[in-house]
Amino acid sequence: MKRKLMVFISLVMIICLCSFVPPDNPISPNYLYTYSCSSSLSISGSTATCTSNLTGYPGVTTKIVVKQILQVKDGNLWRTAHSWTKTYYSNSCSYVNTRTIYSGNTYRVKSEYTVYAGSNYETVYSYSSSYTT
Amino acid sequence: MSDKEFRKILGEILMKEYRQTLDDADDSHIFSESFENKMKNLINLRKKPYYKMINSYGKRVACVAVAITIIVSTTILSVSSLRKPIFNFFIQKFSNYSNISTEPKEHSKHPNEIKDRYEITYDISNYSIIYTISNTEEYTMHYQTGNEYIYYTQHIIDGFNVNYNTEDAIIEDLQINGYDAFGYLDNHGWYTIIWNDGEYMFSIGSNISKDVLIQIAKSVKKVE
Repeated sequence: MKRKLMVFISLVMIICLCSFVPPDNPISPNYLYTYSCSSSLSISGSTATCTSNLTGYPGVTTKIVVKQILQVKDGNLWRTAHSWTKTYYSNSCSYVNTRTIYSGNTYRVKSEYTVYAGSNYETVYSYSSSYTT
Repeated sequence: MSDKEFRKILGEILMKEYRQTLDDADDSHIFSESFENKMKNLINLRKKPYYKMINSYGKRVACVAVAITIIVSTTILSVSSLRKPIFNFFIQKFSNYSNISTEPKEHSKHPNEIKDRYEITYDISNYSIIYTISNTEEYTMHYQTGNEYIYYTQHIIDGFNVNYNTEDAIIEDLQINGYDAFGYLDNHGWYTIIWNDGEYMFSIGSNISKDVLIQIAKSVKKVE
């Protein structure tokens, strides 16, 4: 009986491990005021250029707060290497920053946008592809 | 009596008793049907060529785990809404948006920066430019006339990774100048077309009619 229980628990653990993949692009809950958004990372030498773009709907989107995060991979987790924040009072934005990076690491850009339509707002996210230096 | 004679006599007596014991043994026991079936299955299983692969609990568990892994992997790769390759790029459709992406390639044949600029050649002279982005990876123009808007973007293929509002949208296959494209009408009444010509990604979105927008998309040409 004990053996069967152990086998059952092992099986459940294997299934859970097979099923769980850390989301690279977690689901954003709303896209009410957002037409499109993107993050990109380009690396030249030891300089990373991080870009966060969001396009809203004219007459709907009134303000965008962008939090741009340069992330570095630490084992299976992504930790913040640096972050920047800026507010735009328009329906579109393109936020660009540069940062010195170190070789042998894997980086990506995560952008967190708080998109306003008057006093209502939604939060959406975008992630760049990852690059190993 | 010699030792040899003693052994012979003893053997005859014991064999007689042994045979008597066998004759007395009751072989009329009837096993249950389920037991008989189990034995039959067990005997049949031993005859199978893969018996050695599943003859222990651990091996059977490993087989089940491998089968589940294959099924899960196959499902993820085959279900279109999870990850569908579309004309050199991927579309991942979620409940309220879609992520369009390409794989970054270190030794890609695609231009790694915008070397040739493509623009709309359709007559939109009545529109004014209200927003631009121009860098090595992207060339974006937003046009406006009255309440009509056109969003146009040319982007390098590698590293393209954009989320679009596709909630309630039905994605349609299209052709733009011989290139595969797709389009959708979003829940704000905007139609968007996305395609690539093998060198660059293009997207064009607007709140004007789909037919006119397709004509505008077809007019996108290299200008410098």
